Amino acid sequence: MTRYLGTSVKRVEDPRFLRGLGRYVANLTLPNMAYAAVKRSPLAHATIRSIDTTRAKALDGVIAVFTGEDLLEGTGGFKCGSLPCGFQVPNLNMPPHNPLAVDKVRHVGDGIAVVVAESPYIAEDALDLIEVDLDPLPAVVDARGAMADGAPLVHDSAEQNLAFHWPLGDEEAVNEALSKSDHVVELEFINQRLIANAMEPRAAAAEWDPATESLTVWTTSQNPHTIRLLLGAFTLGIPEHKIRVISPDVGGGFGSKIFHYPEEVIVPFAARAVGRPVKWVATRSESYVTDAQGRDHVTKAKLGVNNDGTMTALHVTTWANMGAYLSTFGPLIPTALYITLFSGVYKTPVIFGEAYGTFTHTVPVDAYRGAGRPEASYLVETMVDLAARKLGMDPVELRRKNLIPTDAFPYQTPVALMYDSGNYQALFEKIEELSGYESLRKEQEAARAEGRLVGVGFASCIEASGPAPSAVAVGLGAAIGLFESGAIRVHPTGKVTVLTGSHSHGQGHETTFAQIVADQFGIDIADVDIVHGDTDRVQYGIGTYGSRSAAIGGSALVKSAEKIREKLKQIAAHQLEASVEDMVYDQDEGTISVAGSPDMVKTFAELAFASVLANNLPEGMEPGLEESSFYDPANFTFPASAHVAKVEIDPKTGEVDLQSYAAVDDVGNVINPMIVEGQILGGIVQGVGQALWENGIYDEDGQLLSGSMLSYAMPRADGFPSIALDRIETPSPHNPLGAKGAGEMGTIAATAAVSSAVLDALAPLGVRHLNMPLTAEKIHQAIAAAGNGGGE
Amino acid sequence: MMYPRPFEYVRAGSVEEALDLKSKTGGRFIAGGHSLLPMMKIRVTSPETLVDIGRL
Repeated sequence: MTRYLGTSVKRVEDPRFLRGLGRYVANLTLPNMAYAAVKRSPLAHATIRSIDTTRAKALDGVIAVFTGEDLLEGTGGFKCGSLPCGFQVPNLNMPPHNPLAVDKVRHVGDGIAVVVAESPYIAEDALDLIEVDLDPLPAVVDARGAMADGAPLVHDSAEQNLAFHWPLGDEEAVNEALSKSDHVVELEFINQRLIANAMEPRAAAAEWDPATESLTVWTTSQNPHTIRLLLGAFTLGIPEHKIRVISPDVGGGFGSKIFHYPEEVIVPFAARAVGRPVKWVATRSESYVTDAQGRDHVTKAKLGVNNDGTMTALHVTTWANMGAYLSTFGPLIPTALYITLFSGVYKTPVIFGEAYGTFTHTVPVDAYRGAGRPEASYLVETMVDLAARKLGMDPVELRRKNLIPTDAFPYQTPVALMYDSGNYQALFEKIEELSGYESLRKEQEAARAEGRLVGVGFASCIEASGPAPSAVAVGLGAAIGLFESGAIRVHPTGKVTVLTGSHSHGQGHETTFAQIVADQFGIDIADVDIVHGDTDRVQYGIGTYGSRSAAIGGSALVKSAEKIREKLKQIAAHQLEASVEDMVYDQDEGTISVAGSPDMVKTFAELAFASVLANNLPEGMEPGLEESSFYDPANFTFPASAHVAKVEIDPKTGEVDLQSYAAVDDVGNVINPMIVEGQILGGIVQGVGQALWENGIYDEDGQLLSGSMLSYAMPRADGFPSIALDRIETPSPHNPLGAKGAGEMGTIAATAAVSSAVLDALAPLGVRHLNMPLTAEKIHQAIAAAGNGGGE
Repeated sequence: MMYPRPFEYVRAGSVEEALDLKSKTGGRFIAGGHSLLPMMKIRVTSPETLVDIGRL
């Protein structure tokens, strides 16, 4: 038997996806099913004067129409509650978030009414017949502008539109260090809003069983147990044990499917009210105005640096756009996942950061791939580049000067986090070699001599993945612990079913988790099935986000496997009439034998059967072979990366040609190199998307101008060169797999690296900074302005 | 919105038939649909009849 860990096992889930046999929520059809469509606000801010549903209700094929008030008042003794926020920073202002708007609408796309009809087409037609009288009000869309005097209030209860203010670090010490520094580089910039655009739009379906008074909800969620908890405790008030939430195959999430959404409340309400199963599937247009969006910061930063390149202090103030309502984890992103990352891979001695979370008349903002950490990396790396330019130093040399030394781990940063492990020097050596950094600089020099605009960008980033442990997470504001559960059920024939609380929506858990378990027992990977995404099958789960599944979900499985191996040893010892201490589990062969007597051996399958035959077990041992574990990690894991991008800009058009890209990542021990490389490649593409193309733009009235794929520029394959990948492996010291998060690292580094390259290309023209996305138009204008004697 | 309003669909077997169907129904030609269908789906336009000339 070969071992699977560390090998590129082909993804076991792919044959069903490739053959169109995946089962998504949208594929679900139940007898007598009805279909829901949501009437949405075309205005960003307005008073609802009246809603007339008479004509819609009269349309042939319409079963029912419900408004926000109907949901609050309820029917037949059940009603809907406000959607809660699951991350409560100190002094958080948390206005109600009704599943359908009552009295006022607060962003374009805010739900006003739901139609339930015999077909999705009829439901859509009926939306046109709902007459909503809206009285338009002025809107505010800018995170900082929302706090200005006289700005329209999103919620009357939130003065200055302030949801929270979250400071971290010693501001006095930072100011003092800045005043003593040889130089202080300052920058004010925007980290623009992004829209996730998962391949599968969100969907929800529900069926109420009056016989057992229980509810089944199918939803495109990254964490079905959390949705069940919130439905039970807050939004539907149905006892948690009477709710089953199923997240079947889900076509990508990137964070946007973590959160508890209004439709997960509206659809079950409607199903119960009309006594039929109901399904709702978002259109792509709805995704643009209802899926939680990402980033959207305005930031002022100051970095102190001495003549020799030593970084002395960092001071940051950020205004973070929360959108119209607090999404489930909205306040977490620009606080504990952002400011705590300001140390990067550097030993900056003092750091202060603060975030103002503000309400605006826009779609709620929450985690999007990287979630706070790309914003932090972009900030730190952009400031480091500016410092290098100020000093006339090579940006890599300046970085090297400030790296946390390899012998300093575990390393306590000035912003709360304790890095578990790392080897940034090795990372730098490898990326300089892989990218040919020195020759890139020589090429650049030659190109510049010809007047060409060639830039080399460098980004070295840290990620804090798998937020943990629960005691710390809850202390920071999480409303639930951040452990994971994993159960292993060994069947009498030695086949294995694994039940994990992690959720795969593209990550390949059905492969990587099977690799882990197969190796634990020394059995064929085909004998292991991974079950996830069903609260009635899986004991409990926290779900998949924040690059947590391998390190936490995978470790829970290792813990359960260890318990099972121990039980198998006891059975083997009993039957071979030897002592347990003498039993040797051969994980290559899947056998247990007596040390020194290889003939006295039992196979995994023999022992599995013995456990249910149960006629010859050790005294007092229970029959059966099933174990469950809840693994609460000791710390985050801290992956790191160094990426290099080379660009050339067409001076006539401003167009950026990304000519080469190299990435070295350290995600600890790698379970499946192919899957990790795929995640890092995809992450890089997404990160470059932010640097060059993507932009969620609202006009001053709160209309989303980039509300479709015609106007929101997603990255495409033709925008990329071949990407060179390599890695180093510094295992996490505190989880049994030595794994660190891999899902977000590419995104975190790529945005910074490509922005760095473009700004490096433009530096000779005197362009100091340009906000992303670095579109041809924006660069063309900067070049033109530079030609007229001024940069930005 | 991604669902068009209800419409009739006819396929023309010849150029003459296509012209005839269009004048009779007042509908719109559809060939590939890359421009028209998205506009119908977001309900910017809602022709009562589509005359398919895709196979001519």
